[in-house]
Order: sequence, then C-alpha cells, then structure tokens
Amino acid sequence: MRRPHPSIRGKLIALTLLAILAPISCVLFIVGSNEIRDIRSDMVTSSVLITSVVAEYAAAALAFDSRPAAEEALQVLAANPRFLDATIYDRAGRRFAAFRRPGRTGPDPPAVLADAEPRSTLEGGRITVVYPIAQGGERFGTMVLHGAMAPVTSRVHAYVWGLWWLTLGIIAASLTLAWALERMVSRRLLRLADVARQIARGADYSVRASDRGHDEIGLLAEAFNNMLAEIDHRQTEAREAIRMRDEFLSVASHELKTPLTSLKLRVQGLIEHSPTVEDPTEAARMDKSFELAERQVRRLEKLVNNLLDVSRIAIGRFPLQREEVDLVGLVHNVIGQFSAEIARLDVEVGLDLPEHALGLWDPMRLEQVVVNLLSNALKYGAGSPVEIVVRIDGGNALLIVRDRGIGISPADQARIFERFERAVSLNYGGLGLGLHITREIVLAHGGTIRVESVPGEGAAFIVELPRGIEASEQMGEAWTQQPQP
Amino acid sequence: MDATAATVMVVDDDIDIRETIQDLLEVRGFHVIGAGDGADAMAQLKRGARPRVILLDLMMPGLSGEEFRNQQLADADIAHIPVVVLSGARGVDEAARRMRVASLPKPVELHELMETVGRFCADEHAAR
Repeated sequence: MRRPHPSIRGKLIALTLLAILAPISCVLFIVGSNEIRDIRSDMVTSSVLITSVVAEYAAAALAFDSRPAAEEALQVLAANPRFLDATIYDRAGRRFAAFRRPGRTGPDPPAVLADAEPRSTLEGGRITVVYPIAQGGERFGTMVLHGAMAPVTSRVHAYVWGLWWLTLGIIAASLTLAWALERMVSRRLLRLADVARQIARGADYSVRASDRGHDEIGLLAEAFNNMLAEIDHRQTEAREAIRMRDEFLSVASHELKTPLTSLKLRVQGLIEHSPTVEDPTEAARMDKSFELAERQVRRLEKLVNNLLDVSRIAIGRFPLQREEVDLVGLVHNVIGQFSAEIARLDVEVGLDLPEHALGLWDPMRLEQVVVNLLSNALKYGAGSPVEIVVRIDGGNALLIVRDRGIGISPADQARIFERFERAVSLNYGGLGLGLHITREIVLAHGGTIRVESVPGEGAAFIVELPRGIEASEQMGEAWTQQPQP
Repeated sequence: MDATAATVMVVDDDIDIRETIQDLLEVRGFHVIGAGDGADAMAQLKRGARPRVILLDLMMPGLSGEEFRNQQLADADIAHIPVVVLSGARGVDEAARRMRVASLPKPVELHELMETVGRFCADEHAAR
C-alpha cells in the first residue's frame, strides 16, 4: 500500500506553521519595527537635545576664546556611554575643543565648515549631530557630536532572537500536535485501511475492524464493519445459491436419465428386431428412422452426461478411478466408435501411434477426452484431414489431435476451456461443455492441455499426461483388461 | 413361457424402465419378475422367488438399493443371488463399488444389458 503523501501529519504541520507562525511573525515584525523606530527617534531627539545644551555652554567659551571652558562643557557627554566623541569648531571651521571617549577607535571625524547647516544623520550604526553654536544672533562656531546606536542594534537583535525561539517553539508545538493527532486519527485510519486491504487480498469477509473509539472514526469503523457483515452475508447467500444450482443440475441430469433409459432400450430393441415391412422403400425409410432416433438418443445422452459432469466438477464430486490403460488401444476404440461418422463426413483420419502407451489413468474419463477432441476435430475440421498422434516421453504420454479446419482465434483460445464458453456461433450445436470437462479430466490426472491454432488453418490440441507408473516400457507382453465382475 | 427359462428380477421404481427391460428380456426367452421398490422385491424373495440375477436400481423411494442389498446379504437363503446395479451416475458408482457388485450405467446399452444378464444365466438356459 502506498504511504500517504502528503500525510495528515504533514498537512497539519504545514497548517499550524502557516496559521500560527505567519500572524505572530507579522505582529512581532510590526511591533518590533515600530518600537525600534521609536527608539531611534528618541535617541536622535535626546542626542540633538544634549548637543544643543552643550552648545549653549560652548557659545560662551567660544566668545571668550576659552579652551578649558569648552572642554569642560564637553565633559558632560562623558556621563552617557552612548556618546563617542564631540568636537567644537570655531567660526573659521578650526577645531577648538574635542571630547573623545576613551577606547574610541576610528579616524577623526572630518572637519566641518563654519556655517554648516544643522542636521542629524544616521549612518552605519552612528548618529552624527551637527549643531550651530550661536548666541544673540551671532554664530560662534559648530558642534559635531557622534553617538552609537548600540541600544537600537541590541534591541533589534533581541527581537530577532525572540522570533527565532518563537519559531522553534511553534515548530516543536506543531510537531507535538501532529504526533498527537496521528495517534488519535491517522493511525486509526491507516489501521482501517489495512483491514480493507487485507480483505481485498484474501477475500475473507469475516475480518472486522477493531477500532472501539466513539468519535467520527469510531463511527466509520462501525459502519465499515456493518458493511462487511452485509457483504459476508450476501456472499454466503451467493455461494449457497451456486451450490444449490449445481446440486440441482446434478439431480436434474440424473433424473433426465430415467426416460432416456427406456427410450434407448426400446429404440435399440427396434433396430435389432424391426418389424418386417414388405415394401423395400418403406423398410429403408423405417430403418433410417430408427437409426436417426438412436442417434438423437445418443446426443441427448451425451448432453445429459456433460451436464452431470460439469455440475459434479462444480460441487467437487469428480473422482478418478485409475487403472492400467493403453492409450493407443483406447484411441483405436474411439476411432471405431466414430467409424460411421467418419465415413459419412468422408474425412481422412491419420494415425501416428506407437504400439502401446501404458499409463495409470481412468479409462472412461480418458475415453471421454479422446472422444471430445476427435468429435471437435470432425465438427470444426470442415472436412479436412484429422491427425491423431500419441507419443511416450519418459514419464509422460503425449496425445495430439489436429485438424485443418476453421481454427480458433487467439482471443478465443484463452476462453474455450471455460464452462459454457464456445468459440463458434450458435449454428454449431453443443452446450460448450466438452472442452471444459476435458480439461478437468486432464488436470485431475495431473496433466496439461493446450491448444495451438491459427484461424483458418486448423487447431491442434496437445494433451500431456503423467503416466503414473514406475514400470518402464520393458512390459513387452500385451496387457489385457480385467474381466468385468 | 418355457419352464426352464432363467428368471431375472428387475427392481426399478420407473414403470417404463421395468416394462421395457421385461419386454426385451422376455423376447429373448427369459422369465422376468418385476418389483417397484426394494420392499416389494424383498417380499417376493421371501415368498420364494429365486431369480438367477437381480437388476437393481439404486435410487428408489422407501428401501434404497443399498439397504435392499444389506438386507439380502443378511438372509442366508437369498444372499447368494448376484446383483447388478443400474446406476444413473457415470460408470461405476461409488455405491456399487462399496457393495462390490457389478454395475451398468444408465441409460444402458441394449447389448451390454443382454451380455451381462447372459453371463449370469450362462450355465442354464442360454439367452437368444
């Protein structure tokens, strides 16, 4: 059975991930980016503010050209670890005073023009504030402040880490959920599918699903079991009906033999001792009538026997009574039985037989086989020559009956051994049982039968029978049949 | 009817079969007694009928062919009378084998019937 793909578990995992992770990620992202933006603008604002405050003090220092005063003003910035460096430029753009955080690396910031516009920029994790130092309308210089955006960066990192752990958590949760669901749902469904597969394979409708849950799957299992009970019941009924039919066929064909018995005896009696008729034409006509009547009785007899055989095969009562049989003698016997018909059809029957072909077979059933094959060859041979071949091949005997008549199409070749199958139109009489019975007899002897045919070129039926006797061909002397008890 | 003619008993519930066999045997010089079922046949035997051979149908209502045979074998006076079973099954019926008697398949061939009856009546009156 193919594995479910994608399975319910897979679908659930995908679904939870999508349903939970996506919205939460969006929310986090939105909240996070808002907060980060706020922090950034706060930092910018506070940096600008402090720069403006320091610039106030620096104005006086510049006015009085007092370096120490300017540097003292800048020392305020030391308190906040955020601020990396600050520089005061005079009116001409020359460096007047500077503050540099210890440990601050990197090149000195570039000089700015004296009349540079106030601005604040963020670049590569640094904030740069450029602020004019002025008082009473007079511009004394410019202050430049550099600060780190580290808190922002760390906050961003915090959010990313949070998202990462959240994702992991959600994946873990959805896997757990999927596993739990698999136990509660998928596994039970697969077990149900298993039972169905088992039944389909073994045609055993007594199997039942064992799920005892009360949820929807439990209901499914219950409905499934009810269906199986119904199928089982119907199958039993069907089997019973078939068995009754076959029993009936057996009884019916048995019953048909009763009228046939007296009919056949009377007709045969009339043939033996027909009343004397003076007029030769009348006499001939009478003889012909009796002969025809006997032929018809034989046909009826054959049909009834076939029906009986077929029904007995179907209900399994088809025993063999094995004796030592000479297949060659049997073939001669059957040819003898058909001599009138062969003469009437003017068919040439060629025999390719060894002197003897001994085996342990049921003589009557084997005769049935030869009769059936020969009669088919005569019936469908369209007057063409018929050939009968017997061979001994070690432990097997080979019987081939060949005609050059209408042949059998490949499609039909597969079907003709089935019950009631006929490879020809209804214009050719018969119930279509002969080959079926023939095959059953051959199989019951442990042999094989096959047909080789090309439509329009005739057919050859090839029977292989295990001889079933240990003794070899050194049984030279002619073997005689046991006398009837 | 020739007093020394061999007697054949025909036991079959079908009247047509019985009469047909009777007619065909009588034409050939046999004396035939008929019975419609096993009980009737047994009664006739107990009354003294001694056929050379009994042609026995297996499937009969009442006393079946097999039961008849068992009763026959239990009675020393009549146990020796040979029985030929007329069997509707193909060839030798399993029952016939069990009973260890000869059997003829239905519908029976005229010449086979005559040969079989002739064989059992061979040492007395020869069949025509």
